[in-house]
Amino acid sequence: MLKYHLVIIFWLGLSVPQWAAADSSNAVAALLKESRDEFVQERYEQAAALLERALRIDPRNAILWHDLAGVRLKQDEWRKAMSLAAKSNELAIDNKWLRIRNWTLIALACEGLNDKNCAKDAQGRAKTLANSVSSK
Amino acid sequence: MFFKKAPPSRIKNKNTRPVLKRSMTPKKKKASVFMRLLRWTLALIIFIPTLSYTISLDVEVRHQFEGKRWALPARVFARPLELYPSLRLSAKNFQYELENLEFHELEEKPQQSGEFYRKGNDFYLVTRPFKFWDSEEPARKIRVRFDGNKVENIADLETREYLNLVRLDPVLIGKIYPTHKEDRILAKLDEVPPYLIKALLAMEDRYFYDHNGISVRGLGRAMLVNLKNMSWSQGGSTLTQQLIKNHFLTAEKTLHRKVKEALMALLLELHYSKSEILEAYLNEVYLGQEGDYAIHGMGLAAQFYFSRSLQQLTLPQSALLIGLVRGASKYNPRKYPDRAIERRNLVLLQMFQQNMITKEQYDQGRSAPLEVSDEAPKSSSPYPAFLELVRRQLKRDYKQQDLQSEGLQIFTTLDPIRQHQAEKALISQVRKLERDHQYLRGRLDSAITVTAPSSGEILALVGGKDTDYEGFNRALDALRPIGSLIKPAIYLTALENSRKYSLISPLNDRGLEWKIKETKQIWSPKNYDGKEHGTVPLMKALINSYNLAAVQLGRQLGLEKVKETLYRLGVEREIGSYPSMLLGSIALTPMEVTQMYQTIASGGSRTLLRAIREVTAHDGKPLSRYPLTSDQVFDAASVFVLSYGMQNVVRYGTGRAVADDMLPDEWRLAGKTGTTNEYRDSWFAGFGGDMLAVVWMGRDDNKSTGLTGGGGAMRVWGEFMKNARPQSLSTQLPERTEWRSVGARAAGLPAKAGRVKIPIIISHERDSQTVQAALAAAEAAEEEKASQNPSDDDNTDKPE
Repeated sequence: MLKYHLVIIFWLGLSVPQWAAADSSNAVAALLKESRDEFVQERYEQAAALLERALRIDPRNAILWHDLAGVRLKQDEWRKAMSLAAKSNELAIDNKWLRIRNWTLIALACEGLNDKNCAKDAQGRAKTLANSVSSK
Repeated sequence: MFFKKAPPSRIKNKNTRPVLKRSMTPKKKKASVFMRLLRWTLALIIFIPTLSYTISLDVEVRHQFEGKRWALPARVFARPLELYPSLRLSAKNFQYELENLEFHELEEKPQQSGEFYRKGNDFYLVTRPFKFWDSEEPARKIRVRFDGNKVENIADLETREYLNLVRLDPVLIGKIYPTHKEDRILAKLDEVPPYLIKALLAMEDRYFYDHNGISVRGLGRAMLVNLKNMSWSQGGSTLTQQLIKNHFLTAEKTLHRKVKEALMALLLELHYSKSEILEAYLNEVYLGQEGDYAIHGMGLAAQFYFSRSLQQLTLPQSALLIGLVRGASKYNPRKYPDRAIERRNLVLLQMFQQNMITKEQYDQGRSAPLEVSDEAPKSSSPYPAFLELVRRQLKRDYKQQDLQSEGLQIFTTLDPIRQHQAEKALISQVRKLERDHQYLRGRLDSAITVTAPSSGEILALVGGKDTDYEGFNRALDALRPIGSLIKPAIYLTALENSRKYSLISPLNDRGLEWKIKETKQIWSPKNYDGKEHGTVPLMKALINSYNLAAVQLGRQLGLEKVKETLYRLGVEREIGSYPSMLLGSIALTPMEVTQMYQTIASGGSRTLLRAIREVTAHDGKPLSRYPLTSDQVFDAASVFVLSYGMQNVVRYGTGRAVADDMLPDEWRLAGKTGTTNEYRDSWFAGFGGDMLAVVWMGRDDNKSTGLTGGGGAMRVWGEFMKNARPQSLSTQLPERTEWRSVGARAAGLPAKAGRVKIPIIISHERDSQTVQAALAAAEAAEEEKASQNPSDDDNTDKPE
C-alpha cells in the first residue's frame, strides 16, 4: 500500500514540468504547480481548491481530474478518488500513460475499500494498457 | 473577544481600628454611641446599595464588553473573476464587472486600489487586495488588453511583466442580517487612518487620553463654546460616555441615566485600555441609514459613502465621516451636500486650530469636492432569488444565529455577468411574447437556471420576471410537469444498450392502447400533429419529439428501466409507475430539471449542483468547503451519442425556428423542448460545452399559455445563449465510439443535410460489421420510402 502511495506522490510531485509544458494555458499550468506545492506541504484541501480553480478554466483537462483524484486518494476518500479518476479516463482518450495512472489509482482506491475484485480488475486494465504502449 | 482584561487594580486593605484617645463622661458617651450608630446606619444605608449598584454595573460592563461581539451579518460574495490570456470575455462585460465591484472610473491612469481607466480596448486598473480561502491576492497595478471577445494579455505595470493569472476581488451580492438590522464592517485600530482618529478627538473629546472616563474640563469647555455660539453644538460627554450611551443605554435623558452613564464610563476605563475603548467606539458609532438598515462603524461608513475601504480614506473624507457623528441624518452628504461640506470644513478647522494638520492640508481639504458615491450600496441584494438558494443550502450546515451574527464570508458560484444576461433574456422575451399575444399580457412568467456542466456550479438563477422582488421563486419552487423534457431519459435507456440501439434504429411511431392494470383504463397517446409517422429512425423521433415512438420505445424498455435512468440522472422525487410518465406527466422544479440535464451535459457524470464554494470566518479563516465531486453514472459513449441527437433537435428539430433566428450556424449546442397538456408549461433545457441553461415558462394560475417549448421557453434560452456565447460541444469521441457516414434521411435528418457523420458505439470487432449492415439497411429503407412518396421530406412537421 505504502509503496503505491509513494508512487503517486512521485507522479504528482516530480512530473510537473513535462505536464505543464504540455498545457496550452499558462494560467492552468501555474495553478497546477501551486497545487502540487500545496500537496507536497500536505495541505490537501488547498491543493484541491487550486485544482478546482484550474478546472474552471479548463474543464476538459484530464491531468487536473487525475490530480484531484490523487488528492482524494491521499485523504483516504476512496470512492471520490475512484470517480474522479474515472472522469479523467473519459477525457484522456489520447493519453494512454495518464490512463494507466488512472487505473493504478483506481486499483489503490479499491484496495482502500478492501474490494479485491475491483482492485484486480483495475490493475488488469492498467497492465493491458501498459502492454499495448510498450508493444508499439 | 476584542477586549483583554486589564490587570485588576490593587485594593489596599489596611486593617485599621479606631483608637479612642480621650476619656468621656457617661452621658456624652451615651450620646456619642448613639451618634456613631446613626452615622454607621446612615453610611450603610447609602453605602451598601451604592456598592451593590456599582458592582452590578461593573459586572454588566465587563460582561457586555468581554462577551460581546458585534453582530456581524454574513456577507455573500459572487465568484471572483479570474483573468487570464485567452479568457472569453468582452471589454463591455469586463467593464460591467468593474462597475459591479464599484471601481471608480478615472480620466487618467489610476494609482489607488479600486480605480480604473479605460482607453479603447485597454483597461488600466489597480486591483484590491483580498484574502481568499486558498491564498491572498495582493493589490496589483495592471493593464488588461482585450482583443475582440477575448483577453489578449495582462501586464503588471510595476514589474513590466506579463501575468498568467489575476484574480479580482469578488462582488458583494448580499448579506444575511441579524434581526435588529444593524450592519457593520469591523475595523481594527491599526487599520484606521490616523487623520480619522485625530479628527474624532478634535471634535468629540480632545482630552480623551487624559481623563478617566468623564472629563470636567471637557464639559466646562463645551459649555463655554456653546454659550459663546449660543447653540448646542458640543455635548461635552467623553468618547467613553458616548460609547456607553450607544452601546448599553437607551436614549432617554434622565438624571439617573446620566449618573449611570458616568459610573459605567469610569468602570470601563478602569478595566480597559484607551485603544480598546477607541476601537470599540469606531465600530459602534451610528453613521447613517439605508432603508431599514442602520449603518454602524467607520468601516462600513467608508464603504457606504465612498465605496472604499477605511484605509483608503483621504483627509477630507475622514473629516466628513467624523462630521456625521453628531447628526448622521442632518449632515447626510447625499441629501444635504452643502450642510455636509460646511460640517466637514468645521472639522478641518478644528484640526487645524489644534495643530493636527498644516495650513496647506487645511486649505486643500477645505476646497476638495465631496467625492461621495452617487448611490448608497443597496442593503437588499440585487439577486434575491439566488440568495434564497444560498440561504437554503447554508441552513443545512449552519445555525441561523451564526449566519446572522458571526460575520461569516460566503463565497458563492454566482457569475454576475451570466446573471445579468439571464435576467435580460428572460425579461425581454417575456415582454415580447406578452406584446405579441394579447391574452398573455401581465400573466406570463418564467424562470431560468444557468450552470457549469463540469462542476455543477450555479452561475445564474432567475426566479421570475420581477428580478428584484423576493417573492415566489419559480426556479426553486415551481413544481410543473416536464413534458417532453423526459424523452432524453427514454432514449438514453435505449442507447445504453448499444448492441441493440443506435441513432438509426427503426422505431415504431404508431398509435397504441395501453391498458393500465390498476385502474383498468386505456391510455392512448397521440402525436402533437395528430399523425402517425410509421417506422422512423430513433434520431428522427428524438429531434421531432414524436410521442408515439417514445411511448412505444418506453414500453419496450419497461417503465422501471426508464425510472431507474431518471434516478441515475439525479431526479430525487418519487416517480409513479404509470405510462403517462413516458410523456412527462411527472412534475419537477426547474432546479430539479437542471440536476437531471446536468448529468447529460457533463457527459454522464453526476455532479451535485452547488451555489456555494467556501465559507470563511470574518477574518478569512477557512471554515468549510463544498468540494467538486463527480460520479460517472452513465457510460460516456451513450451520453455522447444522445447529445449528438440533441444537437440536431436544435439544428433540425423542434428547436430549429429559434436556432435559425437567433444562433450562428457553426455553434454546436444541444437541447430539448418540452410542452405540457394544453400548453400550460413551456420548457427548454439546453447546453454548450461550458454552460447549461434550463428555462420554464408558464402562468402562476396554471392556465394555458398557448406556447410550445420552442415557441416560448426556447426564446429565452436562445436569447441568453446568443449573448453568453457558450463554447461549442466537443467533437472528441469517447472510447469505443466511431464516426460513420450515412445519408441524411437514414439518420432521421432532412434531406438537405446531405450525407452526415453520426457517432456509433462499437464495443467489439464484430459490432463493426453489424453496424455497417444496419446503416446500409436504413439507407435502403429510406430510399424505398422516398421513391414511393417523393414529396415527403419528413422534417417539415410543425415543431412539437
